[in-house]
Amino acid sequence: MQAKVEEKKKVQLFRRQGLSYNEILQKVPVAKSSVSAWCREIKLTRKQEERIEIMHRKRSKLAAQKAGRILSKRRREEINKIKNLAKKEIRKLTRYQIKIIGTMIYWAEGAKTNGVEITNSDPELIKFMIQWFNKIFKIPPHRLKAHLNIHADQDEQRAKKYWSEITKIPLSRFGKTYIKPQGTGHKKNILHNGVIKIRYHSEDLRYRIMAWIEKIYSTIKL
Amino acid sequence: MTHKWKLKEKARKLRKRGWSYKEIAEKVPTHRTTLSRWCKDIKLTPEQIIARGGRYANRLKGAKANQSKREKEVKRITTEAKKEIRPLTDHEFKLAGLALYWAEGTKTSGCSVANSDPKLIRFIIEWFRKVCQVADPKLTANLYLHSGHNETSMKRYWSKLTGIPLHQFKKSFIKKEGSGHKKIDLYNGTINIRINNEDLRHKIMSWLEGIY
Repeated sequence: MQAKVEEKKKVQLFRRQGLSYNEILQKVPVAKSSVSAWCREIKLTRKQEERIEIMHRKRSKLAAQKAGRILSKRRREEINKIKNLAKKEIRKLTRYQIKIIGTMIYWAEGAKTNGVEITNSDPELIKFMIQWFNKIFKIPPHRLKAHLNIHADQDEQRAKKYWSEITKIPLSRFGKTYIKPQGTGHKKNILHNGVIKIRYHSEDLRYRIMAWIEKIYSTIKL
Repeated sequence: MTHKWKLKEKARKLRKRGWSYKEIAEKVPTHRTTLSRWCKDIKLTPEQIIARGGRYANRLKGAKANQSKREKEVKRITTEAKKEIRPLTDHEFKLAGLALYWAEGTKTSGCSVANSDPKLIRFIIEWFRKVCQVADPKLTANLYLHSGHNETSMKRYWSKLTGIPLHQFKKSFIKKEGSGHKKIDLYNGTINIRINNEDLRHKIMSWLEGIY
């Protein structure tokens, strides 16, 4: 196969100009292994080497990004599948189920010593508890009281309106707002609409809820 | 003449038995003002006061009666309330744990629940095991303690309570003294139960979406 003499000359010329093997291959159609064999002895200058290396790095980064995109797409599909399956497992709630769920939330977030109080910043959770008061105890929103807990740089009126809309507790039933002074070293968790405490003043009701919690716990076989 | 200190001792002894100053004065010939000064630090029990009679006793009697009436009332409320809960079905148990996770679990990354109530922690661990089918080696824990806590004994306490072996307890977070944090004396600290499984969190969050 002596016919490759021409090609060999061309390849070596390109290599001396500092082209990478891949770039050479685009100009001279031979096997990559031939290019490598013909050019092994040719030393590149520092500058030429640098250029090739940067090019390689860019290419491998692109490849990684592409791989990442494919992977995260696959991951997203996986997550969606998990989500859809999980949603199907929860059917519409019965009254008794609402009672249990609300009681458990009370266990976690409610007051254990003083009236019936529940504090949280999650609007969905608060909505659920409003429903719990209404359905299970026949306590409508306007019989509840609310207190907000916000940062000094938050707008109190805006926060009140926001929570009043969510809870349906009239603004007139909102008590004094606790405003955290700035710069006390408190962790600044930017809860945009602050934290709400809803309360119903009844010790009897609290005793009843606490008894429910105790009973629920005692029926679980641990 | 008897020594004053002897009189004082006798008076104090009688007072401790619940005698009134008038009664003591009959046995110990001393003025009532002096007696009262001698016995200032002796606190009578409500029973003693009631036995002694008088206006204050009557008031106390009333308060005590109210108290025991209230106690009975609370007991009745509690007993009645317990009848309103029947043992949970598997599905209800799932919802119950889900509610705890909603309130106390992480929503955006990882999968963990933190609390200081031992019963609540036992409940949620049982839920992780039964409902989420988390294998025991996947459960890890770490504690939030005050600088006054003894870390080793706290770890032992929680390990025994949760059934999570000590080597699955990660580094504790210890609050430094006087950092301006509010100090509630949670006797056994707070425990954070963690499961290293992002898929599980996605699943739990979707169960939650089904609720609201």
